[in-house]
Amino acid sequence: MIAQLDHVTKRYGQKVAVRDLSIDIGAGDVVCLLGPNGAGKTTTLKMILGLERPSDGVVRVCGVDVAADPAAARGHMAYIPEMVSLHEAFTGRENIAYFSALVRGSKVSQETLDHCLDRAGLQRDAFDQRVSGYSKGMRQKVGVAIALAKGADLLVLDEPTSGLDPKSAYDFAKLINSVAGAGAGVIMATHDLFRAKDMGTHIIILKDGVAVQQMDPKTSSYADIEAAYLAVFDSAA
Amino acid sequence: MTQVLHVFRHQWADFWRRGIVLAMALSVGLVGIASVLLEWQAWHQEDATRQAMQAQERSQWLALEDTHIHKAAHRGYFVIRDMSVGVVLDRGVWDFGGSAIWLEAHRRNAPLLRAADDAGILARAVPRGVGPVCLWLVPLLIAVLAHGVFASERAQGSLAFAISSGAPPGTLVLGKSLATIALAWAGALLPLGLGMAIALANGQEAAPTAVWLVATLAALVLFAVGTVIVSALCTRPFQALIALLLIWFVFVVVWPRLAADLTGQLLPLPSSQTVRVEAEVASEGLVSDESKDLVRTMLATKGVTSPNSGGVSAMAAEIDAAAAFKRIFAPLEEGKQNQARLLDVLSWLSPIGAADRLGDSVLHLSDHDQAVFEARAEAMRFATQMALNEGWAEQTKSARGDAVLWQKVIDAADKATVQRPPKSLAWGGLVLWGFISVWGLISARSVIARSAV
Repeated sequence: MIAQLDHVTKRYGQKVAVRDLSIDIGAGDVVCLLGPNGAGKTTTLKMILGLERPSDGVVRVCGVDVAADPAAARGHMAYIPEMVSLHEAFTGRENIAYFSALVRGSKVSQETLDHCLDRAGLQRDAFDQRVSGYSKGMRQKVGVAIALAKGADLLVLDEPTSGLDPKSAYDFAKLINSVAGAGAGVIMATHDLFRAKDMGTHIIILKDGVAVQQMDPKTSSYADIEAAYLAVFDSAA
Repeated sequence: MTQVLHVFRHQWADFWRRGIVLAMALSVGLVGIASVLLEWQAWHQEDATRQAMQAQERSQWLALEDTHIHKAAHRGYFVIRDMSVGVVLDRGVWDFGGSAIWLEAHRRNAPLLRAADDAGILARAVPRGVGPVCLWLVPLLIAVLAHGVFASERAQGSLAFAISSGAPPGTLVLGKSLATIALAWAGALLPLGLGMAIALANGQEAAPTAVWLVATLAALVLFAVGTVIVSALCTRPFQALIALLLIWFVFVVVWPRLAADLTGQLLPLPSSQTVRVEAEVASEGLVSDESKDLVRTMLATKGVTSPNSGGVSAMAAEIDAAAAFKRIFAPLEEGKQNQARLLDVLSWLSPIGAADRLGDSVLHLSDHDQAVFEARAEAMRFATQMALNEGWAEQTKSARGDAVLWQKVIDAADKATVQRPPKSLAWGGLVLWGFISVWGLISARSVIARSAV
């Protein structure tokens, strides 16, 4: 098991952001968290990343209790936000060299870095261009390449396909599936039902911090997922 | 450490690519080098003028006709001290180097002194020379050019990305601090190097100059680290810029000057002129038997076994006057030392002020009035010996311009002024701000650690 959320609850004063949530993420799993804004998706990701401490329950990544040792736990993870913010004055190659060495704690050879950029699908002629000229999709690819260079066991993605054009979103989905196929675990917060079905191995729909429904994308149609998702809004209304 | 250097190199490359290093080097380099060269030229001119005046004084002295001993005792001689090349490093030295001292056997004329000042370079109006450029301009440029070292990254989101991805916040803080320090030093490098080279090549003493250099570089370290801390604590680059400009204005522009003014208000001293008059009055008519015996003993060692009594009395009066001077000036000297201590402590409230004060304590020549009066008393004893020595006027005309004798006077003045005790309290300011900086860095690390998504 790469990551495990064991009956995790997060309270902010009287407000319960996440309630008794349990998720197991194994190698090759792509877990998609769906739900409206305020459902607890980002709080869940923050607890996995060790940026928020659970009020109850335990989050473990590669056997490390994240709350007890967040730095060690982060050593096994890579985080890819909706907009990967890189250093604008540097090229893609320089950014991956900087961030990967920083988060790994040691330098990575240029060949390995180039290989990671290749695997992430960044075009070769963009390697030495400054990222200030990169599209959002290209930045996502550099973000994934950094994760690959780090050798992360778990990818934590926050709305990764938001704002991407269909082709870039498709490429990104393929890339994530490929990374998962190589043995990594992935957990992703998203509003994109289509990509969730396309990419995910598990779908969890959250409402008010509670996992109201868990679905298997392989056995559930897009219509089923959409109906379950919209039901959250209906009941909220 | 490898990680810290990794961040340092990256941040330095970022400064370089965005033209920040160039802007710093050009701004400080041009102003600093121009300032050094202008001060060097001014020093050359002033030094040449003084040497010419001294030579003229000497030739005029030697050309004097032989005369009665008493009249000869009233003939004066200007001792014009050389201008210190320290002006190249710090314009403030100008006030302390080269006052003309009017020496005559009988002290009837007040010495012509410039007002001595005891304040660091920042307490003087216009920044000129390497010191002010380094302590005034570089911090300003650091505030303007490097305020976004963390704040911009936070605004862009790359900081959150790095921290959320597992980048160690302490490593980021240290690496960026090193890069900002390097930026500050890079700006100061050219004028500092040129100024030091010129000063040392022209006779500036190495040891105090080294302390001055360390104090200046330490001040830049403190301001650079402060910039990183403020940038880490601010959420927007604009906030960081405003905060740093405010800090610069208070700590660099206002406080050093205010501290000097406050010191004068809290521990007032009588004016030099008042003390001089008091000294002159107190020394009138003093002729002790003890001094007369001393004079007779001194003259006997020179082979004058039966000096005239008037001469002995006059010489004894000069010795007693010198002693009276010392008594009169002792409280003034103590008051100045108390002022210096208070100013040291007040300077602690500004990292730049503390460094400026430390540099001031080792490079500047100060406590000038006291030194000049001591030297004058010493000179009077020499001159009186010469004037009252029977046969001097007739036999040893050259003795009136005895180079060795006058050099002793000048040396006495130099010794009293140059050997100013180092201000140990001034180090305290740098140590204090060093601790504050470490605490600030730890706080910055905590804030950066919370800068994730």
